[in-house]
Amino acid sequence: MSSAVRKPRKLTQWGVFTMDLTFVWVIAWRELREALRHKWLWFFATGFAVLALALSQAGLATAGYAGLGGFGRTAASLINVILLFAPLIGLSVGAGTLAGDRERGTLTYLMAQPVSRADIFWGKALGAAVAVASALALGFGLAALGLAAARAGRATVYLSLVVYTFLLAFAALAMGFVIGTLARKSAAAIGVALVVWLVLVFAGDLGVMGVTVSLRPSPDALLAMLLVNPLQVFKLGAVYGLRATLDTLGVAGQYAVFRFGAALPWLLAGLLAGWAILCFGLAYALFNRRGDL
Amino acid sequence: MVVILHALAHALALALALFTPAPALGSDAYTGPRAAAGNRLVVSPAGPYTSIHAALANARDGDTIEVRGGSYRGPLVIDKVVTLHGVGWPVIDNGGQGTVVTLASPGATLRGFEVRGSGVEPDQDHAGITLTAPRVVAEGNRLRDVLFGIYVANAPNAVVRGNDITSKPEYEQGRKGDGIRLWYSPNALVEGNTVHETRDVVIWYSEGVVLRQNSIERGRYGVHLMYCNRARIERNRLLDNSVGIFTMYSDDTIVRENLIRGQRGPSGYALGFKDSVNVDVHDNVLVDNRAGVFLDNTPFGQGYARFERNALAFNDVGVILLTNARGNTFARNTFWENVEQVSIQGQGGAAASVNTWQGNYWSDYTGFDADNDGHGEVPYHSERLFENMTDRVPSLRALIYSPAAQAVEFAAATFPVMRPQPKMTDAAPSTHPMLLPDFAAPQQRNNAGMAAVAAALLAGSGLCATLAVIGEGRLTNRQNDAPGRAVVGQGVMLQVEQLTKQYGKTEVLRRVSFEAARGEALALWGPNGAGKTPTELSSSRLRSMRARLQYIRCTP
Amino acid sequence: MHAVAATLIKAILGLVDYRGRIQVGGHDARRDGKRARRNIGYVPQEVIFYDWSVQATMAFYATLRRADAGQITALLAQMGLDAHAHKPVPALSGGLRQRLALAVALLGNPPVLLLDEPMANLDAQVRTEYRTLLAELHRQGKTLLFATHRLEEVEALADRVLMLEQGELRAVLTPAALRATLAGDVDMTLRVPAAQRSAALACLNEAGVSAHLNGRGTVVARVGADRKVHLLRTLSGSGVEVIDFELELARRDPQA
Repeated sequence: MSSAVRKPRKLTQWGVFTMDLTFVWVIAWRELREALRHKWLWFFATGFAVLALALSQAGLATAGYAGLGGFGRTAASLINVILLFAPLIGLSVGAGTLAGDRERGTLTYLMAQPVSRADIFWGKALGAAVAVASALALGFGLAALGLAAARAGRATVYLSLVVYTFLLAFAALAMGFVIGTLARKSAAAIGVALVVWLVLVFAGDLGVMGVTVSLRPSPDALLAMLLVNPLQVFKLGAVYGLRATLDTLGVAGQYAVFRFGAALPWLLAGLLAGWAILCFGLAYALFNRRGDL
Repeated sequence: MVVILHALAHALALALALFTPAPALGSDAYTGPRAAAGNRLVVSPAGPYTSIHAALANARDGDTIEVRGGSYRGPLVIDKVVTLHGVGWPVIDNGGQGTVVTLASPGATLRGFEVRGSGVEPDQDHAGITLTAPRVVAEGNRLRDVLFGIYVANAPNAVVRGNDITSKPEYEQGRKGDGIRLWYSPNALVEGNTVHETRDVVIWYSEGVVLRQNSIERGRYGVHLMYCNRARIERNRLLDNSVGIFTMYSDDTIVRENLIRGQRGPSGYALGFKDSVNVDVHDNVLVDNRAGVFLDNTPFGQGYARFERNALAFNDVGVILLTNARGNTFARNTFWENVEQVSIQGQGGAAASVNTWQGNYWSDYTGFDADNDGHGEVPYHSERLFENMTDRVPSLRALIYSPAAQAVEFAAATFPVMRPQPKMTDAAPSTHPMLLPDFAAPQQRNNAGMAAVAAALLAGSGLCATLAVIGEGRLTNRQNDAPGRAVVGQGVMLQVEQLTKQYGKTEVLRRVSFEAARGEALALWGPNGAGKTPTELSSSRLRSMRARLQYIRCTP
Repeated sequence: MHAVAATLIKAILGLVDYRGRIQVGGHDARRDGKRARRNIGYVPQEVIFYDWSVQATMAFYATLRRADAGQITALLAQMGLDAHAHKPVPALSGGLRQRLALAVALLGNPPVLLLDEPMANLDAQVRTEYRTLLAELHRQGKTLLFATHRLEEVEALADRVLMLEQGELRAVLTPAALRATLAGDVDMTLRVPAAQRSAALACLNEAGVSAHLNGRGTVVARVGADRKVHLLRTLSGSGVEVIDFELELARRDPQA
């Protein structure tokens, strides 16, 4: 019994960033399994599915207008539902993942095993992301089924909406992770997540509204204010994906198309992805630095 | 194969045109294809004539020159009353110079040619076909790689029918020429043409023009009408242009049964009227435009603008009224899911706007029809606070679709104090939308794509769930590579030196040092177990004592 | 408050920040925590497992500990869990759960076992069995570091005792020395049925225990700290039923 410690296979080392992909994968799998068993994840998912399905059908109801494939209040409502649900799912799952495990004591036991914090963090992040994505995919899948049955909707446009929604949900998930690493109790984490959600959904936009009415900002300033909020970024991306133009959104939208042209969808997707990467990175740094558990 | 199909399509268009009743615009308004009264001269690569010019030189008024295939050089100026009849798509190509064909003799006809290769100078009106005499006919031609398509200049009663027109593809929109340009050509008939990827269709200074059954796509101004009284614009399809039909300073216009979809330019009006008088707009379908109807100073002075039985669906704004547009009537229209149904812009706001709204269908109407007469018992008010705000501060549109905007609407609906003055009132709105007319009926779309998307998403979701469930079994069967021998040398297995731990200011461990040798068992005896005073009897200790008592009882 | 022994164990596992140096099997617990932990099997006072089956739980941690899948079966047998392999963990009794924790800790054959009061929540019989398991592991050459409040555990398992007081390592003792330190008398206040009070008193006096009736109808006996169980056995042996008892450390001053 004198051989040296066997070096694990597939070891990635970037300074403190020591990851073993086997561990990441198995922890992700566990996280997915746990997350999928959460009742409220499915509550959100079914709520989202029912609303999306109802909305996709409501627009198809009468007088032959459905097949015009237009983008009216119905599509607007769909975007609204996504704007409310996707961040809520992301934030609450994200905030609950680490904080909940810590509170239950399972996190300590997991960290007492020969795995690195990077293994644990990225495994959990991956698992939670897959869980959120599959919950959203269920909702979008059912709504798509309804649209396909009614011979409405365009596949590519719909897919772009799905992709943007995933990105938005991942960004929210990452923010949730930041909250979860900082909070001690999972109840506190969920509470903070809800506050952040309210700010993103209502307070931020009401602020922009006030500024717009009182200060009449220039189009580029207004656009900049919009791009700070990932929800607005999503909205710009979703509307652009649905209509290939943003002039519905007035001068700010027109300016965005004028300024960025064909690069706009990539820019918006990039911004959402950037939010996700930034927040995951921050959460990881906090989790890795935090000594006491 | 494609060519044949194309030819077939054109033959069909021609046949349709032939069987379309002539408009009643006076006896000289319509020349139409006439049976050739004179001789027939045949041009083909194999003769008897091998050049159109030669045949034209020998032709007399009333003759027909039949051109059978082949490619011919322009420019061609038809200065005799002849009919040029192309068979098998003969090509006239000017190699990128000037205008290709000019119909300069009254009543001359050009039919069935592919015309290409005009010059590129916009100020010289380089065009595929230029019509410069009364009653000339350009019919069933194909125009490619030309700057302007068909330029009708001072050609009263000209007929432009069944042509397929596109401009030079390499130019961006503003640099292209107009698909059709009509200039001082009263009573012209523009019918059954397909105009795509050109700049505008311009109809200026021409009274009594009829535009019928044209398809105008992906251009800038679908139809731009100026100083054209008594125009009739009917049964056209305008798709994906910047602006649909825009009329200025034109009186007595009839616009009916047009389908206008997807006008999405910066202004993006499906129908716009500026300084126009006596406008009749009925039975049109306006879908998915930035704005369905735009009215600026219309009617102009004495007159009216009447909008009846139009369907306005999925537009960003159904109707935009500047406050100088007064005295208009909107009756029995269907307002279907426009993001904003009516917008009133300009000085004075809604109060300054005086128009009549009668029996329209509003998709956001929340009233009811108690007596089943097809009309709601409660008036329809357009009174959305956020809409009012965006009408006043247009840049606020950036926030539409946001939950915050919804919150504002909700607040306004809940607290009457915040409820804005209604923009307009429809006293007895219809409770039934009009049926979408056949010409606007959507094509049955292939839904395989959506079905595939649905299947992929559901499968992905299901896969994840399944993975989570069956993963347990897979994990159990997993063979690990490492034998799990984490072993070190003999001697000291655990070494703790000067270990100090503080929580805040509390020192829990202070410079603790010890070692554990291989195989050694060390007990940690903490303060809780020392049992110095009764109060220090920990709960676990009491528990264990009770447990022991239980044990004693159970033991016989 | 933070328990001293638990904090020490957490520090070794790299779960808390600390000053000083900790090495496990030659690996620094802070800089090279992952490898240090590969040498450690950890059993907390009470493990919160995910609610999977025993088998799946073992498989999960076997992957994390890079243990051979074959070891799972062997360990389950060794811990007497083989009959429970397919039960969900929450259905297990506390004792079985604690055995599962030990089985998990042994995955990958770590040379060191850290045990944080592993038997604190177990009842007596289970605790004895558990102690036997640990003694066997000790005999096999595992290095054990365990926190405990029970003298009999120390006496059964420990080679040495680290006595921690107010955060400092006060002394390193043998188990026998610990017993000597802790020896002292205890007043046991016994509640017995009224009819048996005098019999109880007689029985105790006969056994050489100083005892008296107090005013509230209970019997108070003073015994050495390690004789408490013996006393209860004696009473039970002579047919006296003890309904309840309370403990108080005897004051050393003569006035008591």
